[in-house]
Amino acid sequence: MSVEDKARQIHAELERHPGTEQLRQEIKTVLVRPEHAPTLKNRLQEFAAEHPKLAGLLQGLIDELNAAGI
Amino acid sequence: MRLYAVLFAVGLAVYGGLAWDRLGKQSIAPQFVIQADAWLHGHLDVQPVTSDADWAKLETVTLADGREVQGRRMTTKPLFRTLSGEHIPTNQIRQSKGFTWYVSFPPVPAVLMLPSALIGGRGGNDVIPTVLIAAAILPLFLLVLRRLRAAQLSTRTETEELWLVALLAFGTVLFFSSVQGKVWYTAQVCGVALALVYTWASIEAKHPLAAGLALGAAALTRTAMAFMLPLFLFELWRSRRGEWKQVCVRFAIPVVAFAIAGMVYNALRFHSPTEFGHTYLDARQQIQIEQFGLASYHYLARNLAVMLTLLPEWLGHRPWLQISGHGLAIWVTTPALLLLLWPRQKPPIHRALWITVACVAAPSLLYMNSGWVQFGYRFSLDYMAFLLVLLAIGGRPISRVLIGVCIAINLFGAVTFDRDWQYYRVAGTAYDVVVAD
Repeated sequence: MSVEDKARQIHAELERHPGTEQLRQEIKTVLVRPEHAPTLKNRLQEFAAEHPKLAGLLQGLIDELNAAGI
Repeated sequence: MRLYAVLFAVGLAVYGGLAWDRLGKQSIAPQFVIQADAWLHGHLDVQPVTSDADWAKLETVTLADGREVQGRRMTTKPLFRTLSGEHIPTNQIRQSKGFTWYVSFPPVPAVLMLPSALIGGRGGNDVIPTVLIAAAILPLFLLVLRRLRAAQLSTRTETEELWLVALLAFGTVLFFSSVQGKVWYTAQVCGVALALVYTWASIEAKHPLAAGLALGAAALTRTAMAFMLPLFLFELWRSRRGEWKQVCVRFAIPVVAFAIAGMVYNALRFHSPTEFGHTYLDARQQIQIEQFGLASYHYLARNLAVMLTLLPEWLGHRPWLQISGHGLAIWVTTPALLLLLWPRQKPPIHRALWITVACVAAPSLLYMNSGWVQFGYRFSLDYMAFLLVLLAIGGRPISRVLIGVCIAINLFGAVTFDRDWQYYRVAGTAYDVVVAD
């Protein structure tokens, strides 16, 4: 699964969680502006700490971003 | 006719193949489809947006004196800049009443996305239309090359012409741009197609109406392309100066029509006929825009460096090489362009083409953005058609090996760009550090 596909999957998952608008926007943005990846990774880690059930999914995106080199 | 169809099919197959995993879905920067869908619903504004990258964003606020105004909060000062250009201290804002979003990219590509929007609404596909337009560039360029030969401006054989078509299609930054589908690349691809139509129509000023249509549409696709004008004027002077009045009228009618349409469109959205919205871009460059404007001498050194000097960066470890997010120099992505320095022949159109290249290149060199993020200097696509025509009329033999090298380089870009980011230096301070230490 590509970074983009993974991001789309997580974006769709997060749509079911209220209060995630900002994070979803950041995920979409990083696909267009990869230089924002470090900030997004920090935000994903913070969000994962607050929502342990989503931690695995969010870590998957962090791993994909790392694997893609951003 | 069959050859044109074959070339279109080759373009479709190669671009489609390289865009394969993107073809079935909307790109991540679908501004043109969103705009087309908004038009179909009777709106000029678009809402809501899918990411915060490169949308014009206007805020409506109520002021302490009771007035309601639209504009944006400045990043560098505690001021609110209204659409009329007034600067109001932000402490005068009593209430924010929300945001209106616009697509600030010139609108012609959005017109081409209308069928997609009709089929898929806001979620319409923007990759397939881009690939279709890109594929049309191959036969269009052959048409131009044959027209040059018919006008005795080129001595290329049909085989050489086909190699030149391959060079433009797959040996320049057009290749990686054609397989993206995102707003910036779609505009660039449309621009190349329109530049070719314009060139074909401008040779000997033979088709003034078509030249005017192509120029008008190109200016509303990539603003810098409005400066393609000299080519037609030089050709008019060279070939038809005896009937210049009639020819000029036929050329000017569509140009003026497009200009009026563009100005009305801008005025309706931003209360100014010359403001197409980039002043209100919600982008990282907003700080620079506020300090130096959209175009300034301040940006020239960086843009010249990007255009002419950026090389791949050797890392000494995996992945071995990296490309700045600002891209590679144009002679690195297309080494064959170096042959432009030593033309064998200089037919009468030679000078007109170089002047046109200079006129179209200048605005981009003074522009606040370098084209970030990119594999190669994509703004060169605004005049790449003219550079390739210069290569054609220059008459210097172009070895197939050299064309093969150009294709191999750009194939790397088409495969890796926006897929394998480890080959691109984009994180951290990469935007500010144009050349790595």
